[in-house]
Amino acid sequence: MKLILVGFGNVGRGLVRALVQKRNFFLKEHGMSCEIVAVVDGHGAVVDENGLSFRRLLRMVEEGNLIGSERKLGVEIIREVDADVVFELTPTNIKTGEPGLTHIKTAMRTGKSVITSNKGPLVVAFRELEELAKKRGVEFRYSASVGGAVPVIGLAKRILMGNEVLAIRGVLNGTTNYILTRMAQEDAPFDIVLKEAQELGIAEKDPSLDIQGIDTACKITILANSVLGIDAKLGEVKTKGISGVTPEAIRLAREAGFTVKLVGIASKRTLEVGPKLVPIHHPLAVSGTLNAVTFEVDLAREITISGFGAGPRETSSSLLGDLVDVYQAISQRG
Amino acid sequence: MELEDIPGQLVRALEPISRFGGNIKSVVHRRERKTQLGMVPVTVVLEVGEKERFNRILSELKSMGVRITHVGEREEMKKRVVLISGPLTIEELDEITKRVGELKGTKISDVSLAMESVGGGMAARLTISGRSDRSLDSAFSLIESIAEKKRFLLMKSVEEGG
Repeated sequence: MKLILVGFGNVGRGLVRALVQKRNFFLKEHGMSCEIVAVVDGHGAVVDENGLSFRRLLRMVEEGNLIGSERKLGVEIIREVDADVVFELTPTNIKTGEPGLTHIKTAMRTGKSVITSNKGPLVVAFRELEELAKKRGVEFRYSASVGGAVPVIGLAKRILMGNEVLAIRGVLNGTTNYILTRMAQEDAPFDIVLKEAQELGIAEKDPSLDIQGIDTACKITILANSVLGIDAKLGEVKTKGISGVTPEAIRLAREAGFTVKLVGIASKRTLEVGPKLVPIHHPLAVSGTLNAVTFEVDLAREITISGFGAGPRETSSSLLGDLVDVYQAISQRG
Repeated sequence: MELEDIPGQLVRALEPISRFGGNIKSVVHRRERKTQLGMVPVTVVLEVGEKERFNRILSELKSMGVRITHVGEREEMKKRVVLISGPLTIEELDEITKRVGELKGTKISDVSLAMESVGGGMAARLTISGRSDRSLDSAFSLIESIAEKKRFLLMKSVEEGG
């Protein structure tokens, strides 16, 4: 499998590291060998059609930038370099989906399968991309866009295939879950805990997408489209953030056996994100930066999974799962 | 009720309950505690959808000559907890309680308050009691519309709705 990586931030570097570390495992367990033939970021690209050497790749990961890069754009590399799979890992833009959207379309149009962690293109053009992939006969996977390492989409679309999914409820944002957890533990106000989270690198300098619930709303949009088959748009998700949650409200909730979580809900009746009361012993009541998702389905009733929603190594779990999946799909086609 | 201590009396007394759609939850027949007149005290717990059916069962039993000594009634209420917080005043809370009470079959049965240390607002936990999920839904919608208008943050349980 020849791979092109577009985007060399935390997720891209985490993926390279995991791919190099686990190359023998993939060969032995899945009969899959991979070469990274190109890596592109905002500054340039490194290309070797025979596969970049592992030593060079690891050095680039250590130094955090592309060594010996030429000035080329992602679109050019995707168009010109021969590869089986393009990993689209550039930062999310929820308004235009760019540059990820163009990268993905270009990859599909040149017959390459696409694996992405980027929510932007999915939120902006989910249907269009699914249809384009089908039309061009390529594979399209996006497990890492929802839940980080937690196999949310795979569980719903593959393992629970015999069920109809009626509703999805999820704690899908680690930053806000950390803030709410700390507010509860320390009886501390939102602003102070947010600062603490920023100092620890858990919250971004501009945390608005997380705390306003927009990141969760993006994930709900993706789940509504991919799992429930609803042609949902981000603007249709009724979204409330957590900045109005106070330690006093959390205490009153606790006295009645509840904890407060930012929960996204997707069903045929509702698409919403907001702070909710979660019974303390409910499986969604996960603490810290953990994510959890409950599927309400017709046969199994309720299934909940939880795990790490972010982090480069954790996210590579979903990206590499998708890679093996794509490899198997391509192999089956022969 | 009190029944004569002869065979068939209990079955006879229970028959109208099922005939009028009552659901018998328990029957305690205490032969060891006979009254001075030799009657057996029997306690029946039953569930009916509407009050009217209950009255029909009672009058049927009376017409059959069954002696009913005590009727206890407990309306089964469903409960739902909601939290509101923000620039909320006692007067506004009072208003919410009043308006929910005016709806058919619902009331606010419990209120807990906390004054917020930052911002000077207030948080309130309300328990809404209602005869049915439907009446709870309408009470919730009412609170939701007030919260939206006054810009309070409203939180409900994740297990409801969706």
